[in-house]
Amino acid sequence: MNARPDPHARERRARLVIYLKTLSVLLSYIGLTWLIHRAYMHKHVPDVELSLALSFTVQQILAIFTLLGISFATKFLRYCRAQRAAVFHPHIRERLILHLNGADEWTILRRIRKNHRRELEECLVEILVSINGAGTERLSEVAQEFGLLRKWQEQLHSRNAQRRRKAVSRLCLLGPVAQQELLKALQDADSLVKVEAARALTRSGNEQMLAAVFQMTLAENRLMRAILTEALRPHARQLYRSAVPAALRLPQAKRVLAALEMLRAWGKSAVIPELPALLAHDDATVRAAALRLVPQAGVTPEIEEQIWLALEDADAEVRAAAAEVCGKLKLSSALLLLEHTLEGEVHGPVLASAYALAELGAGGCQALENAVLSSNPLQAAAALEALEHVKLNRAATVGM
Amino acid sequence: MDWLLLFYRSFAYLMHGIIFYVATINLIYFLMIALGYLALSRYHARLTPEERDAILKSPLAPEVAVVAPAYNEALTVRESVRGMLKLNYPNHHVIVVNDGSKDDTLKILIEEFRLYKSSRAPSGNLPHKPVRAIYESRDPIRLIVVDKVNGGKADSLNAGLNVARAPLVAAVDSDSLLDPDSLLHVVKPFLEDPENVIACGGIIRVVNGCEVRHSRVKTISTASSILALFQTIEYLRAFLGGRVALSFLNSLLIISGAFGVFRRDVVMAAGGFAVKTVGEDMELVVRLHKQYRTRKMPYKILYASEPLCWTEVPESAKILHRQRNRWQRGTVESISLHRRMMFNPKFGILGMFAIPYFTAFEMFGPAVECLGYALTLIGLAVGIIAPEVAILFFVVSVLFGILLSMSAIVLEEFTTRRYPLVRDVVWLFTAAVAENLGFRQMLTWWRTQGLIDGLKGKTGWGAMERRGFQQKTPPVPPGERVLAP
Repeated sequence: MNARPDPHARERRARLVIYLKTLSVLLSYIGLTWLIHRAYMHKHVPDVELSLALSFTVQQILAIFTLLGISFATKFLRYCRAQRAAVFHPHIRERLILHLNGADEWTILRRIRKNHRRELEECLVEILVSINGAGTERLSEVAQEFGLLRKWQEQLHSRNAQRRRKAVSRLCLLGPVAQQELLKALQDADSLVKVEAARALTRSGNEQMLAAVFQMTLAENRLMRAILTEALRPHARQLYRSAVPAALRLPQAKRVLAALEMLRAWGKSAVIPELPALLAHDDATVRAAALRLVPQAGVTPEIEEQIWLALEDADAEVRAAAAEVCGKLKLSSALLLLEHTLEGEVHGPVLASAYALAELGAGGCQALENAVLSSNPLQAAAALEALEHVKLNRAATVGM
Repeated sequence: MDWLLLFYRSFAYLMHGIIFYVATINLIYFLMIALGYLALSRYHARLTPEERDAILKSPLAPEVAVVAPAYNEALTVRESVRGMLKLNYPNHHVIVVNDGSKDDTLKILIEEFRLYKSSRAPSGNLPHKPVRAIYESRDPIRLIVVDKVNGGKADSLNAGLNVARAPLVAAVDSDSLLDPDSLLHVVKPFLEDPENVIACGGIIRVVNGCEVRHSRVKTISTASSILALFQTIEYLRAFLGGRVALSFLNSLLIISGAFGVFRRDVVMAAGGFAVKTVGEDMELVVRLHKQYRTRKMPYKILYASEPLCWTEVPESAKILHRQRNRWQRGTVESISLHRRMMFNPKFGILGMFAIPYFTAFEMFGPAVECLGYALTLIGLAVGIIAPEVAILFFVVSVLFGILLSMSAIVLEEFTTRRYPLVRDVVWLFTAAVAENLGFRQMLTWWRTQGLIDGLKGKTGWGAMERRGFQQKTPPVPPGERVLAP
């Protein structure tokens, strides 16, 4: 596995390799021109400048034809493969399906493997994608018997990320036989390898594996989190037992924030004993994220009090989050505080409190009507906008 | 006699200078194509269908406001807005800024999308021409229309930025067609590195020749018009070669005005789009670079190497001339405004390479090329240059142009592969040869005129005639075209 500790150092090295390769392309280009000049052109054209220019021209023509050749050869190769697949795939698929259904097709499959190794692998992968359970185990045996498992395991250690991605996507299909490899792949340097492995492990439903994936996700970027949050969503209940509480107690604010965002994305109601502590967290982004989780966790008197405090928080993002929660929970006990937040100078909390007041029925609307007449233009505009949305009976969606 | 000798010597030095210049520019182009290819091989990773579905469902995707200025777009605005509303993204809304259109643009929008006058107040304070009204839809459509006094594209974008509340803002041309997955692709870098990525652009492709149905590009094909086909090659070369390389060097100086996503807070803090330039897209990007590098703050301005947006290119020489003149003036204005960055080590590779490169080759390049042609002709006429040397000079220059264009097509074949038919690829290769025999020289001349106009301080956009995507759909022979992915 290509696990390396420092991603920045790795990135620097990768960039350096790209620069060196570019330089080598340039040098070979210059070298080839020089070679043509020395080996051929100079003997026929005595003028050095003219000879160099002609060598350069010849070299250009060579380069153009090479590019043309590569392009059309690739297209032709793809076409040939597609033709070959169209001829052989149906037969191979048929044999594999018979084998999957219990027939002993080993002899025929071995014969196929001799001449059509690539096609057999492609068909096997195609079928593995669409099945699960006992069928997967039976076809995994075929992959093991024909050395495909070993081949993919070896490819997973390749230096080439593309090859590792391909390998992991195939190992993912094999079920328990590849689980240990996939667990190691969670530490891979390439994010796509990690995602593939993580998604395969979540499919196993094993609590230990799920916890490993959840922990890995917390340290990853938002894109990976978005992808894996969806993969973990069906297993949220299992994760709430121990992995989630452990994550919410982590000292790193960034990871706690990531965990809170994931819980909110799952949208499942759950008991979160750590919530009061998180609402008083030192990091404002964590406080805001914890507040947004309140509608899922439910309101206790302690939490309600913390929401009131949050409406007067020094951080605008926290105040806006608190106002949003008040609106969602229709927390009429916060009406006066919301009115106070509406008088602020920062756009986000002012608008959020206006929309929250609009959710509080007659009392909230009365407060908004008063605010429309305010000399504070921000307050008046927000109140007017919120009242208009009440009037039109439409959800406050755009830009909130 | 001495004067004649002096003339001959000066002429020879000038010719050598031009040859050196041409060799350098070609070498840099070539290096950038090579760097672009290598960078693409490492960093180009398409979203898998599973990843795409996961992001589409994810509440973690940041909200995006798509801001589209519209001026006299009655012919295309309905389809364009529908297309923008239908983009595959979980959390976006569209803000159309009607820039004082004299036609029925606003009326069409009001009727088509059942708009009402909203009391929504702008949250930003960028300066722009007065807003007459803000409209929202009575239907559950995430559309806002800002009707304002005419002030130009940059002015409209500023008005849109003020009304937007999303953390990311996509600045688009209302006459461009966005790829359905464009937002997913362009937001990807922001998800991967939300703290550092401040702007991201993508590949703009030529829609001429493609079949457009219901504001989506349904079938991709090369244009039948020669001018459009040559521009297809040009776009491939510009977007797959130069910009990928400059993005890799974090020195991207242009995010096309047709489609670019910016962090709203960053653009607001930078003062929005500059209204007094015709190249507002380039100017903003250069200004962002300047501000972040001056403050020594980490940042990235990136380029998503996926086709994100389809644009109609001019098929008439008159309109193309006007467009290229404007683009060249935009380059002149942006470079002149930020000339102090040139060779200033404080700005790193941007000051030491990207800005000088743009000045020497993109800004003055056409003029030098024209001078080269003129001197060659004079040299031939007075017998200083031998005809075979002149021909050789021309052949080498043309061959290098062909090589660069072909490299871009090959790059396209290895990465996005949007022209799956062999016929189209053959057609593109043919155009890559032909565009160097007349078309390139014609553009060089127009760009030189643009340079002179820019240096003189000429302003104004000039009209761009649109025909409407629906009307130009060519008939599709059955089985000949391939569905766009």
